[in-house]
Amino acid sequence: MRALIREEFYKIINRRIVRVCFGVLLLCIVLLFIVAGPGNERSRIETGTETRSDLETIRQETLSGLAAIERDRELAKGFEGELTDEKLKRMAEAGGMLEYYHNEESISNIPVNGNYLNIFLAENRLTNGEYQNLSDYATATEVLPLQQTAMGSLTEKPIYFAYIQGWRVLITIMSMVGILVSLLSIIALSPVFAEEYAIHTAPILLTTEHGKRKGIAAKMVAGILFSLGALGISLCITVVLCICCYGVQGLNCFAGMLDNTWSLTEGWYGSTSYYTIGEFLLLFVAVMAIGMVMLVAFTLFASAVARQVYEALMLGIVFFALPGVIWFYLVMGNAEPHTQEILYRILYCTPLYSCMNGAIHSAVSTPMLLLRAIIFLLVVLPSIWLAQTKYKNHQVA
Amino acid sequence: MLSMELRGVTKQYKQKKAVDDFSLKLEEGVYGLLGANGAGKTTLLRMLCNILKPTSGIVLCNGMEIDEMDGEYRRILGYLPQQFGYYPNMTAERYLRYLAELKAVPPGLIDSKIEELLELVELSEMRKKKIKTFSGGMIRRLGIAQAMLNDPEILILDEPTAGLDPKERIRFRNLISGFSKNRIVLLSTHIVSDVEYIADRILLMKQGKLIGQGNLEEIVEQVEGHVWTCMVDAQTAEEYNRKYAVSNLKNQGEKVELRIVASQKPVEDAVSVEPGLEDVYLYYFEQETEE
Repeated sequence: MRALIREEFYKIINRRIVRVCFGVLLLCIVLLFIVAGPGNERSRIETGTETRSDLETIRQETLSGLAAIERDRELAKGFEGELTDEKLKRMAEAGGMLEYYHNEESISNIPVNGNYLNIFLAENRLTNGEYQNLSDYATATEVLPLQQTAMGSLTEKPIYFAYIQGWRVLITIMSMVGILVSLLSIIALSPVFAEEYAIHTAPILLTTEHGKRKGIAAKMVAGILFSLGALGISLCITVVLCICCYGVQGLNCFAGMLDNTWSLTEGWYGSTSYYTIGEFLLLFVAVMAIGMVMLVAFTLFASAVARQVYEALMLGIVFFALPGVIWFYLVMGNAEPHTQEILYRILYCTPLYSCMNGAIHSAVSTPMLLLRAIIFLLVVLPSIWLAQTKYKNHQVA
Repeated sequence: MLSMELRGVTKQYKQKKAVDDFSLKLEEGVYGLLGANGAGKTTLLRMLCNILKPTSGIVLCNGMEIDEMDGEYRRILGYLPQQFGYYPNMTAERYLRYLAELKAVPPGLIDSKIEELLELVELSEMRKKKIKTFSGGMIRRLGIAQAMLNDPEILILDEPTAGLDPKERIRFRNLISGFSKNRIVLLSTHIVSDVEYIADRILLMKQGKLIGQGNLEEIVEQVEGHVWTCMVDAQTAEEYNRKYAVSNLKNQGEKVELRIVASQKPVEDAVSVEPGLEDVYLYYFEQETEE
């Protein structure tokens, strides 16, 4: 069986289009990392004031890219550990309070002195300033007692502080990587059965001893291994890039710090705010892998029922992208609230939304995990059963 | 003793019966299935390989339905389809290795089996080359090699010699003759000479039906008294060629010698001659439309 899986795996990766697409995927990961990571980093800090033409102006130093990361890491390093009211005050002194320039034309607030410390205080609403209030933003004057904040009041556990910018970049890229690997999987696995019909190898394979049993199982296992392998390699590269630039600290911080949302949602959806970042990353990878297996199973089914590779490809893409279309339909307000609620829950369990960190952040309650398991089984089991039945009974007419 | 049996096998596509109430018993030996294009040979072979279900009737192997035998039947089966499928980017060796795994060839024997078969079909030097670089004849030979990988007891070959040059065909015949002991080898073709040389028994198939079977002598006997030869001038030869089934036309100076297959004496001075298998083919299939 192992030899058969190896041969089927070889057949998948031996296609030129698969190798080209995988190369493009790796290139995309590096580009995405540069754009969303170091290319997007800015660290500004006041270095004093100066008087020019009788006007006192604040002197600022702005760093970007790797230098900005280096300085923010240094700034945060001094405060790493359990958060206390006293530590928050010292953080405000070291990083200053975040100030915005309000742009009337674009009705937006543009940070003028943002660095890791003051952005952390502002975005987590740990100060008395208004954050991103487009019309009447007020610069903070002091930090709030921790227990008066959402972050502090919603958990009884100690809050750990560290520089976690790298993990933010990682989960942003992970979503893109998940989508790209899903598309690669559809391209790579659409031919698994359909090509055997198209190039007339099916009559030979189906007349071999293992052709209708182990041969089919080997195709399926190889397909799953390919997709999970591609996902694993892509994620490993992304993690290595992030760790090299941002460091490995902060895995024990609350995941709520990743997107600054602090909620203990009960009922249907749940929330990962109080998971650690390490736990959240593991959960994210697990959910992504589950979504990937669903996609592989459906693509193999599409490949077995299609006569041509492109038909299987189209079916796979429709299955993957359809939740996006439904989401658009819901966003446009076309559904009744009750229907909308049900559809959102189902959407969160599809392969597309299994790649979206936002969907996972707020979809971890027991009922949602149960729903995910049910949808997984409803897609995977019939797909695999139908795929093997259809291929096994293929009539060479 | 190994045996296969078809009982009233019919395959119907909409209005057309590709195979019509076909019954036959095969025992060890080489069988040549002869018929014009569209006679239903390929459909029949696909049903024998259990990759096409009959509309009615059953196919038995040693008294058991092949559908029920499942993997047991496929274990003793070797099949070369008319349209031989391969993976263009695979090497010949890798392709055979893949099929050897599927055919459950014991792992310790795979290398030697591949070596032996590549040698037999004269592809040893091409073993590391991608199949997409092969000529039509080489691809056909690779197809023959894959069909024999598992030392099948039942070997079904659909047009095995199509695309082979005369030397390759001779080699193929010898290969099959040496291989056929204690096995059932069934090959379909419309190349009469292949059947003439290899087959122990000849099966004649026309419009989905078995219209005759026997060894070469028995088959040829059926057209005894229906083959004629005559000498005519060129213009008359052209006219007869249109009018009768002419199996040979040979210029002899100003005259032309014709070999005509006809139930009745075509011309007054025609002389009856010994028939050959080609004459049999013409006798039965002359009216068949080519695909």
